[in-house]
Formats: sequence, structure tokens, C-alpha cells
Amino acid sequence: MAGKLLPMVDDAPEQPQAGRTRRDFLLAGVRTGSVVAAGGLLTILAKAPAAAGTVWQIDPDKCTQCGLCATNCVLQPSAVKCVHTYAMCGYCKLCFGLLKDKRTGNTLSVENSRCPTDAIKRVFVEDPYYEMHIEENLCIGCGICVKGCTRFGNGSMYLQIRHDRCVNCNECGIARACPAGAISRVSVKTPYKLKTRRA
Amino acid sequence: MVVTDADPPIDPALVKFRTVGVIETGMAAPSGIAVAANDAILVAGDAEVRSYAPDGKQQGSIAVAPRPACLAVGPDGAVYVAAADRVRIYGGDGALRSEWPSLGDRAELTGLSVSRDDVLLADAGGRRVLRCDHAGRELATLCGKGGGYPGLLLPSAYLTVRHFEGGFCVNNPGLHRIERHAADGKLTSSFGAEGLEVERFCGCCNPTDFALLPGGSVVTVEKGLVRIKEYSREGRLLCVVAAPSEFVDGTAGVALAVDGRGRVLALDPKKKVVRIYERKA
Repeated sequence: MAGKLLPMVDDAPEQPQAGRTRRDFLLAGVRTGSVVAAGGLLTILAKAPAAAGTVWQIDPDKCTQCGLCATNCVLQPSAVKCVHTYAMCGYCKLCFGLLKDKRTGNTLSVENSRCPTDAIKRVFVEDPYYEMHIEENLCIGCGICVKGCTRFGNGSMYLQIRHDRCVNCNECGIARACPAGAISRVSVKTPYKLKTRRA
Repeated sequence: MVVTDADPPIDPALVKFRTVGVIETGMAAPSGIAVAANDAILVAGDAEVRSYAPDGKQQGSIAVAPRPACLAVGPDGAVYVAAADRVRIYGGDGALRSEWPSLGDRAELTGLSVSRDDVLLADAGGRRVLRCDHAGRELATLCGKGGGYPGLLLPSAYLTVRHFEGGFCVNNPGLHRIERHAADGKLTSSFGAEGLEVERFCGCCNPTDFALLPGGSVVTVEKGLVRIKEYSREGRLLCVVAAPSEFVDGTAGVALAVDGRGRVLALDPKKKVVRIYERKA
């Protein structure tokens, strides 16, 4: 059986094509890669970051929830997601990460919801406490909930770059756009900046 | 500083106090404020309590245990300082007179009020008010859930207690109200409602602190949309003391006190200053 001198068409590495953006190219790579890599640290290592041993992350204490994480990531939806530290949460019935101040009876009616993609689910615990769950597949990283929670609540909701999604670009689009300088490279050994204190 | 809803504007005619002084504390983490005899202003923070004359000039300081949360002055001039799970009592000379035992791992003291008869402790961690004698012995646990009373709802650790006409007042931020209780803890009245409008308390958990002016009106402060307001005894909004424009983004945990002249003292932990407000003529 003859060896291959040139790659067959099916084996050729994907190249940017006319009309395709870098974002499209990377998305395709991620779709393939995600089948192989199983998330978490393995995913980080598998992506062979340009700055060896580091990944991008958001400092929640510097983040101003400007909204650019939702639009400036090469991935769509963004690799930035809202995360929730339950130990900090007040389990508020009137969660300002979830609800606007419309005073419509604290219901979950559409006009009262702060999240544009309905990614936050409110689960009853006991009167008057509710637990807020983030549906990551729906979250676009806009930070609207984070702004509400940070300002009026405990700040238990905040944004993080999820490394099972992030492709660890050499030059991170949201780091470049961040007006607060909140995004920097951190060690893969501590890839998240998790909150532990109350606001 | 806007979330997605427009903040309701403050009618300038409602602002009936003016700033007459600002004290730069110079502390890294100022946390509590109280008024002593002769209207001396006491500020707790870092690991000390500083004393200022009513005009803001520093008079002295004493060293206290690190990270004080709040303080109050006893009838004899002793300074009661709460930090985390315990109370320490200092003389005016800074000598530690006594240190009460720990109230438990869950205790997080955020307010205290001292009278001739007893000491009231606001334990945000335990969601309770404790009545103690001056030696630190617990006499009663108050404001627990039961008997139709929903308990103290504290999404975040902001709880204050003040003696008031034989009983006491306490804020219940999760219910957006100020409550009055009899000495035995029974709820006697309350006022407050949730909302961004100026007469209401905004966010999930406000007001975060309050103080009682001579005459019984109540001064409150909120976080998120930081507003200091005065309410009548019955809960009717009387005026605005300070509008949100006086505070910077991220301000939370403003501590209040009032002096014998009816001035409002607000400790801003973000700017690390005390603002002194006086009613406009």
C-alpha cells in the first residue's frame, strides 16, 4: 500500500476561506476539538496555549460588566459565562440579578426578567428563599445579571471565562476590548478567579 | 451607575440637609461610627477607635482588636466594640475592661446598642438579636422566626439594632422595612416597602443601616442606589439627607450615627470619610 506524500482532501487542515471570518474558523475548530477534549484542565492543556501554562481569566473585582465580553469573544456565544457562588448568595426572592424592578409581584414574567436569553432559572427553596441556577448553554456573558447582583445584591453572580469553551487565543479579543483591564493571563493551575467573600 | 432601569431622579427640593464637614479617617477599612458624650465622634476601623471633636478635629485614639465591625458607647463612657463573634469593652484610656466569650462560629456581629439596663447585639450571622447584661451574659434571644413573625431576612450581613422607647428598632433588609419591637421581642410596628422610588427601599436587601434622630424620626441608608433619607416615626418620607450623586460606584455598608444636635453622621467606607450633615435652615 502506497504511502501518502500529500494529504488527501479529507485530511487537509482547515484553512480560512474567502467569506469566512476568523471567528468561523475557530468555531469549527472548537466544535471538532470539543469532541476530543473532555473539558476542564485537560481541555486547557490540549489547546497548547501560546503563552505556555497560562490561560485568560477575568478578575471579578475589576470587572465593570460593560457587556463587551458578549460581543468581542471570537466564539459566539462567548466563552464568558455567568457563574454563581452559592455560598455568597442571599437566595433572595427579589433577585436583582434576575428581575428588574417592575414590581409586578416578583413574578418571572417576561417583562420582569433581566436576562435577555432567559438563562437564569429560579428554584424555590423555602419561603421566602430561592436558588438561582445559570443555564450555561443559554448564557451569552452579557453581564446584565452580574451588574444587578453586584449593585443591589451580594455580588454572588460574576463573569468567568469557561475553559471548556475558551480557545485561548494568543491575543484575547475581550482582553483587548476590556475597559477595566480586568482580563489577564493566569496559571493553568489556578484557571479561575472565584469569589469567596460577600459584597 | 445604572443597571438597566433608569434610576429615579431625586427632587432637589427633597434634600433638606447639607454637608457641613468631612472627616478624612485615613483608615484602610473604617467600619463603624458612634457618638459619645459631648457629641464626640468615634470611628472604628483597622485596629483602633479614633475620637473626633464635633468639628471633625481628631482628639485621640485607642487600640482595639483587629477588624472591628461596629461600636457603641455605654452610659459610663465605656466603648463597646464588636468584632466577628465577640464584644470587647474598653475604657476611655484604651484599657481593655472585659472581653465577652465567643457567641459561636456562626455569629457575625454587625450592630450593638447599649443602655443602662442592657446591651443589644445584632447578630447577622445568627439572624437574631441578643439581649445581654453588661457582663456579657445572654438574657434573651429575640427576633427569631415564629408566632407569625417571619424572622430577620438577611441576604447580606447588614443588621443594626437600636434601643427605642423601652423596646428596640431593627432593620429587616430582606423585607425592606424598619421594625419596632417591644422589650420582649414582640413586633409592634414596621414601615417600608420595596422599590426604586425615593420613598421606598431599593434592591433585594435594604436598608442596610439606620439611626434614630432626637424626636424619633428614622434616618436610613441603602446600598446599590445609595440614599440617606429621613422618615417620620410612622414611616412617612420626610426628606433626603444625601442623594446617590454623593457616592461613588461600589459604595456599600455606609454606617450612620446621629449626634445630640440632630446632625447626621455617615461613614462612607468606600471613600473612607465621615460626612457630617446638618439640617438646612
